[in-house]
Amino acid sequence: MSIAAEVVTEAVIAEHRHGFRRRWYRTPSFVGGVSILGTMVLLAVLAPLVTRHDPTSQDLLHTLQGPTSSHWLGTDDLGRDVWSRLVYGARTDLRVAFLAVLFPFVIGTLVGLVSGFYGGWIDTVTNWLVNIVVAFPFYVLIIALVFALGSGTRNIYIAITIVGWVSYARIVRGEVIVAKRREYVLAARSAGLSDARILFRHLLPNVITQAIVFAMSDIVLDILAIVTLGYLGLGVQPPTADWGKMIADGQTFLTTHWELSTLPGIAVVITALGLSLLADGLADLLRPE
Amino acid sequence: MQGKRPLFFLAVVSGVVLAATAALAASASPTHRAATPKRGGSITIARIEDSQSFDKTNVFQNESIWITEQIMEPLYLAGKDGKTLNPWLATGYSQAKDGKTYTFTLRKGVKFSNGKPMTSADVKFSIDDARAQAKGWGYLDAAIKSITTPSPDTVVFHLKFAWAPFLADIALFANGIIPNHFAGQSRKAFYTHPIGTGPFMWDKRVVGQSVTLKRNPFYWQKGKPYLDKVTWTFVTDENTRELQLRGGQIQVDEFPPFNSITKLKSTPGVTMNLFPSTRTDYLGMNESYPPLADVHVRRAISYAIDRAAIVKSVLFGYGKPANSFLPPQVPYYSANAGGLQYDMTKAKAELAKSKFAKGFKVTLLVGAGAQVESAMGQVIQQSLKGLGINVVFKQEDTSTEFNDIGKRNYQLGFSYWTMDIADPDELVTFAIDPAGGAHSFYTGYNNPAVVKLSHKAQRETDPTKRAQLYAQLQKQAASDAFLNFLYYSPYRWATSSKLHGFYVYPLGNYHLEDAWLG
Repeated sequence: MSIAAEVVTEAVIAEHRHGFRRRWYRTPSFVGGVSILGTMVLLAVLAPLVTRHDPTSQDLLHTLQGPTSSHWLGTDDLGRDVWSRLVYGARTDLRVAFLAVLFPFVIGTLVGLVSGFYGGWIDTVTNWLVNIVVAFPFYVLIIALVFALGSGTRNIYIAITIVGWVSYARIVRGEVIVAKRREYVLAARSAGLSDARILFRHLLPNVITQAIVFAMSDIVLDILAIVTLGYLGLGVQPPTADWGKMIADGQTFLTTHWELSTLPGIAVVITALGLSLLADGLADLLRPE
Repeated sequence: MQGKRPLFFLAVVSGVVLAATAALAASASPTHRAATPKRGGSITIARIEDSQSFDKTNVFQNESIWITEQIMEPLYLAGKDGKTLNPWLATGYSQAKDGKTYTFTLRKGVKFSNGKPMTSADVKFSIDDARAQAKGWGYLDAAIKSITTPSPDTVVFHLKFAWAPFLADIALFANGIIPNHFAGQSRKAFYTHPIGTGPFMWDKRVVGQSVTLKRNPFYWQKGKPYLDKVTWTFVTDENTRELQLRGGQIQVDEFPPFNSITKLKSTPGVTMNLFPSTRTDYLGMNESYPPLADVHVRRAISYAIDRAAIVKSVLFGYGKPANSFLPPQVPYYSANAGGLQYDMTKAKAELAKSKFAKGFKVTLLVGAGAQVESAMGQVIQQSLKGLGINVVFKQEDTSTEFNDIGKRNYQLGFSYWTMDIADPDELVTFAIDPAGGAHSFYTGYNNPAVVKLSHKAQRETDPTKRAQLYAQLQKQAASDAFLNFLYYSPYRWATSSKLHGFYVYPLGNYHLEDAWLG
């Protein structure tokens, strides 16, 4: 009987995988998202190859220069190469954003699994915690937390995790409550499989899809949060290149060198667009037929 | 005042002003007609922050002080050079031989904006109240023992000891004259809408938005002021202030950023003014952090900072590297103070002599959103990296930053100073005397030899000998590298070219009675 249950589960997963393989190239938002984000990630990964200057090295004799063959996008107020800072900024911000989404994803998913599966007081306490966190606006809470904890990437991870896990917990819990009444779970239960095995081997693969889709749009929020914190001087610390800090540093020059703030701003918009498209595409692809 | 926000001032003038005003007006607008002041019109001044209080005796913020100075005036005022003291509400004074008694004769015909004449009783009351303010500016009046009023236009100050900076102290805005017994109001109520003898009188305030003053019809300088009303707004974003100025919504833009100076100079309809100032910017080193208590480390850091490069890239050339903790506009500034200048070889040699030759980690406090600090911080971070000193940024909002430096809760931090009186004593005591109330500019620096020189200079009434004492003091302080003197910079004010006679004195204040619209 237990073997039968696992076969059913695997069949469901296999069906998803099959559908995914068949349709991804016919989903424009997915293709668009992957291409934009792929280019960004590629540039970030290959940063040392696509730039000619150290993003932190200053040249105080050649500040605020327009584009030249050596500095493609010119230099900033401290004579640093804007193109290098933009590319290395992508490296910093994308890395921080992906890592920042990982912790809440894992924690939230686990909490959602357990609270949805067992219900009872565990579920009550979890809901209570979730409601407390949800009561505050996302950015307000993140900024307040980073302000209290102090600036720097480690504290960004902590703040985003404290705030971010609730969404995953809610999504996964909802899915689990529905899924745990389905036949393959009932079958697994009556076959006497351990709770852990049911949770991780059978339930998790079936409920995680929505969490993954959400994670993609969550990265958009995280990137915006990281850039906002950088802009406020609470995020990634100098001299490391970061889009938020670039926007803030360039703000004084808005009426004379508008590009200093505008270019990193455009980079944020493009990245957010890529991630949003990707999230849409994934949602389309993974939606059960 | 020392500052981040706070600051201060007082100041100046006499007949010279009219001529100078005319000259300035002429330079702003070459037509002959423009040189004759015209009555009428109102202006708006957009500032970087809102006023905190109008209690001149207790407030340390420039954006408050500069408004109180339009309402309340002292007996003497510092002139356009920031050094000479000119009679204002007094017409003159005589000094007893022992240097401990000053007798002032009050100007005739001076009236408060409520129409009542000013008498010696008002003067005594005003200064007695100012010197009683222990948490305010009272410390500058510490030499006064008592004040007597033998006649309605005579005031006598009895000092505890001969005190060289006395006249400069009397010219402080905190010693401005107000009506006896606050014109029958409570102290608190009075300072919500103060009364004085100044060119402008209280009109209205919208907290968080604006302060408006109107023309004082009883002003003692005949024909002045020319303007009917002046409104101070606050607009934190510098780009917005600039756009408002160009759009004619405001006539004065307080502190446009350094990078826009060149452009504003050639913007039609805008006059970009750079006035000689007493502003000096510093990098403070807190000696409670052990590496910074080592004089060799402090010298190494001072040598490692390329001030000329900072002036060029951060100030866009609108400044000068500093060589003393005193600015050139203050009396007894010494051009030969010998403040350490950029020299990486010497920096490395000094660090090698210290106990921290291998380098160390140090935290630099930077105001969030403070562009100049952020840029300078990054330049300094890169310079010190060459010495093996790892600078880590700690960003705080500017008021927290200001408080943390005041509590000596920092390692490296930026601060600046502008003078409030035409005498070095105010800054010298604040900066090098651990008993001065600020732990030597919040650094913990304590060199008894320097403190002794300062005390001697306070009581030395011979200007030549005083100059020698202060020169010696500046040299020793520079050699101890107790602060990093970074640069001197001018006051930056962009005005509408229709506005004439707007001039900012080295102590930071401006005389709106001379301003007019052409």
